[in-house]
Amino acid sequence: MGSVLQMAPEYTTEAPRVRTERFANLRARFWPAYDFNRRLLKTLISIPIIVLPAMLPISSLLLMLPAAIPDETVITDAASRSSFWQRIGQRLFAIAIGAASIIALLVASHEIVIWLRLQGVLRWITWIVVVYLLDLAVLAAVGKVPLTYNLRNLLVRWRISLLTAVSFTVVVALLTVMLAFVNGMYKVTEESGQPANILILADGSTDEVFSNLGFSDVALIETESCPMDKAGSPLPQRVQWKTNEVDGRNRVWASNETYAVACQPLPDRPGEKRFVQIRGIVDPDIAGKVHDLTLQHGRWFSQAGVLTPQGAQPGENDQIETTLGAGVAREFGKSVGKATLIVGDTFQLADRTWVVVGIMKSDGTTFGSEVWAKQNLVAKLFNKNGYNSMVARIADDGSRETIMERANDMAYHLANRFTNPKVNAQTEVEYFSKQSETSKQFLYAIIGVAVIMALGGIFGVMNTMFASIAQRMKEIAVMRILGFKRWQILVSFLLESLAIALIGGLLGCALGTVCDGWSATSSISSGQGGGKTVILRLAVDAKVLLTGVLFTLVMGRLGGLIPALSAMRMKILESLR
Amino acid sequence: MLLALKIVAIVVLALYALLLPFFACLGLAELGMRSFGWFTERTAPSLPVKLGTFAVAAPKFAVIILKSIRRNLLRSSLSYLAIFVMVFVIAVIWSILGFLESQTAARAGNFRALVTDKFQIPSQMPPRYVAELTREVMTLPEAVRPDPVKDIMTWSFVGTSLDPDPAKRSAENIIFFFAMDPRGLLHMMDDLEQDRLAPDEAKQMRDNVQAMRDNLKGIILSEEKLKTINRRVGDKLKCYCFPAMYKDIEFEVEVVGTFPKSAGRYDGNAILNLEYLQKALDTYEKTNRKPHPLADRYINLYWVRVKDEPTMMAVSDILSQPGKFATPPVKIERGSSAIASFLDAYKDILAGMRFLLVPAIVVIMILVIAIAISIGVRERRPEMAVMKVLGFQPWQILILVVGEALLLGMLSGTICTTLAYFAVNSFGGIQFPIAFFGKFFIPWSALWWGPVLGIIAGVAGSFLPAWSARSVRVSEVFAKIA
Repeated sequence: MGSVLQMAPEYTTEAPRVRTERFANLRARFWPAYDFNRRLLKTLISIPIIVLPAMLPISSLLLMLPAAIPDETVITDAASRSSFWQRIGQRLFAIAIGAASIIALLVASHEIVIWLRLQGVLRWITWIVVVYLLDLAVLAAVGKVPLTYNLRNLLVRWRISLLTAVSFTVVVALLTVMLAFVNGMYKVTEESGQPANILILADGSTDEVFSNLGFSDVALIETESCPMDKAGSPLPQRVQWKTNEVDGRNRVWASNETYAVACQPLPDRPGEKRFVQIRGIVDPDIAGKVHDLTLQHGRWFSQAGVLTPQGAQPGENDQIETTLGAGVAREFGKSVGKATLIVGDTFQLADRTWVVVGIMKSDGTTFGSEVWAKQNLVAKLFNKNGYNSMVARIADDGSRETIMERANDMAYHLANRFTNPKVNAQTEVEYFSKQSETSKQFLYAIIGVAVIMALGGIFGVMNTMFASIAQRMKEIAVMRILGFKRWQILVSFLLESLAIALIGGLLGCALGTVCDGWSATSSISSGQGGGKTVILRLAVDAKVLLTGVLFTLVMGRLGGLIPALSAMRMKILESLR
Repeated sequence: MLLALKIVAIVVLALYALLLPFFACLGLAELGMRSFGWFTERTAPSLPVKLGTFAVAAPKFAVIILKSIRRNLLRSSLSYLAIFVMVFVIAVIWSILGFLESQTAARAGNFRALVTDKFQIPSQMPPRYVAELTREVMTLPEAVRPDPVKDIMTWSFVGTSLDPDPAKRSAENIIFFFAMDPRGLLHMMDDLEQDRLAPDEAKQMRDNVQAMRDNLKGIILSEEKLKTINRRVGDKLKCYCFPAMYKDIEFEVEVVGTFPKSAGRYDGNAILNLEYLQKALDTYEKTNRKPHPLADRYINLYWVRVKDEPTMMAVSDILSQPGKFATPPVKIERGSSAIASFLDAYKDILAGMRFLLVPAIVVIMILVIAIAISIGVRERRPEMAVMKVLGFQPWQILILVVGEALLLGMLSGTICTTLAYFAVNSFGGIQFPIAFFGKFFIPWSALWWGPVLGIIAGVAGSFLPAWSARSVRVSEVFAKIA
């Protein structure tokens, strides 16, 4: 075999080379963009492959890199020649130490988060942010990364750095505002429900507006108590309604309510209308206690529910007394050129004059968007028979968890064992958490928009970093000659892009904070018909700000990693040329 | 692992699909300009001198711009992708806002008035109102009198579920019906009117309506809803009304047809014969020996098409006469005005989209272009100096740089809105539940405002870098090189 090869060398080396060249020439003639297409395809394939690892801490990524590309001299300057099994061992080792470093970072960050005593979503977001920050701290501490060089470069190219940072500012500020809006919506649904309250609707109803409870039904419910838990085991102590003594008799903390949505012509915009939510209340004092609402100004409406204007006979031009939610008072005020309606002001609704006798301290709850008045007047005005809903409070002694458990037992008992009449009962917390379906939809839409906007920011920072690297090829080569390792070059450029992102992102967060407390109108619903218009306040809290920071870090990393990898992989001689 | 591979494959294909039209457009534009240049070089001598010079120079100029774009394809591609995604978001937002605006804008020539309960939402009117309202409307002068079949329609909303257990209600078993006279479908419903539909779709609707009239239990469902509930045309269904609406009422219906494909706004909806609802309520009364609680208020909306505003005012006057339509009192308004009232709750969200989100995205687009063009200008300063030495005027250099950004923006905008128009609309629209609208489609007009948006962003983002390029000082640049 060997002799045959020696005798006919053209079949072993020359001929394929000639054939390849011929093929290459033909290809170049008929497919001139072949090289470009090949590079494009490689880049396109590498983008998603790089994107996922790009989310890993950089230190762990560097330790793991030899597992994917063992011939690359990332950590050291020289790659030793090794056998197949040695290379397998090296790869496994790289994966193991990379994984170990991830675990170490996660554990350390978790400790910090526990020490900070954070709860819920905030805890998770903080955890990820701390992992990234610790990672950067480790890299800055361990490596001799030329940070001053990078910072100086940012200043030298300040115009482009500034433009890139501004694009981050806009993206993050916008994200902050949008998240603050959704946060405000969530706060409304979270803060409207009392853990000890049970909301009772007619059987099959999911929303107050479609519910109808008879007068006798509510009387029967008021006498009910729950002897068993959900599993049917007897409770050590029956769950009973909360009562207090009024005029020598026990009074259940239950508010029987008639709910209507009315159409009101706008005084400042002829021909236009808005929907107003009206709650007819039997006893405002009890209702206030049940819903945990107090008065900001004025008083509750009277037992009669009407006010006779001065000089008029009783029954003649009577005005309906109303106690308004703070949000709706502001909305009504805007229509008549005032900051808010105050006690004594009047407005027209359903062909009647309503007089404001009080304003509820109800900001941040759905009740802030409601007009409260005497139940019998509301029922008559809107042709309602009976009540729409009943909200009652169970005896609320014990911890929050115990109360919620007992409230769940009572709600289950009413919904499943109480049949005269059959009702739909649920805890108020559960009802309002179902009402956050719209908030979820908005949140998903916002995430979609934010991700697309982030792509703009990422492409922007990629452009900046690629241009920066292209201009500094010789400098990179000189740094390599001076002894900087490849990973130090990678970290150096990655930190540069992160610095731009962080400056812009933090400014964006600061700018977004301005919207904290702004008032906005929205709608909440369970997605099964019905729903409520709510006046909410935008809420920028730690969760929103940390999400902004996290978003910034992710954008900076995604935008910076690919250019930094290209800088890392530059060959010294080629770069110098 | 398989999922990761799938994601990688999808992203690669998506990026390729987005970039290929860009490269194809660039290639075709250059080919076109070069061919045009070849042609003008041969025809220029026959033209007046100034026109001939311009005709020869313009394609060459365009080729230089195209070359500038493909000089650094990576940068151009990144900028293109950035603008592409931004224009896409704006296209989606404007489609939503545009649609809502069109629904709330009063339209001349299609004057549909809506009679509802004056004060309360949801409106609930007694069935006797239908005959009484129609009788009153028929008292209008003959010239403006509506046709009782073609110009009048009533709606009752009926929420039902295929599962009798309210706790098991879900999108997979809920069917929300508009109970109405099926003939109204051919004349009164937006996008279903006979003159608006393609001939085959118009026939489909006529057949559907006839089938509903022949079979009282016939219903029309959207194809999307049929898919969701996993049924097909011809299937028989048992629908249980939501107890909160029509307690103890059930319908045994048969799917006789679907909405035409072009009427995407009806996705998720269904039509029931109002007569069947009336019969069901009568049966309830016979069985239970008492009327159904909703028997006296199951008409939700009464639509009437009037000729013009004065006719509507005349109807309004008739309805508000003392003693007529008093319990409950009714109001008449334009359909658009009623929709506007429903959208009032979303006014801040819509204002935020219009005045905060869209301008911010435009700013980001401008910044992305500004970054890319600034980098290009910075890199090409020696080239600009050489061009000046060769005789290029500062304004010509300015146009070269602005032209590059303008072309980039225009291509991004054009390709984005074209792809979005066909892709989004053929995949069933954008799902964004707001008020009672669930889906939105990209309008035709996006095909012109997409490129315009790209051009505006291109010009705005490149003007300052272009100004700095035109001010390049030859001596300074050469001194640095030396």
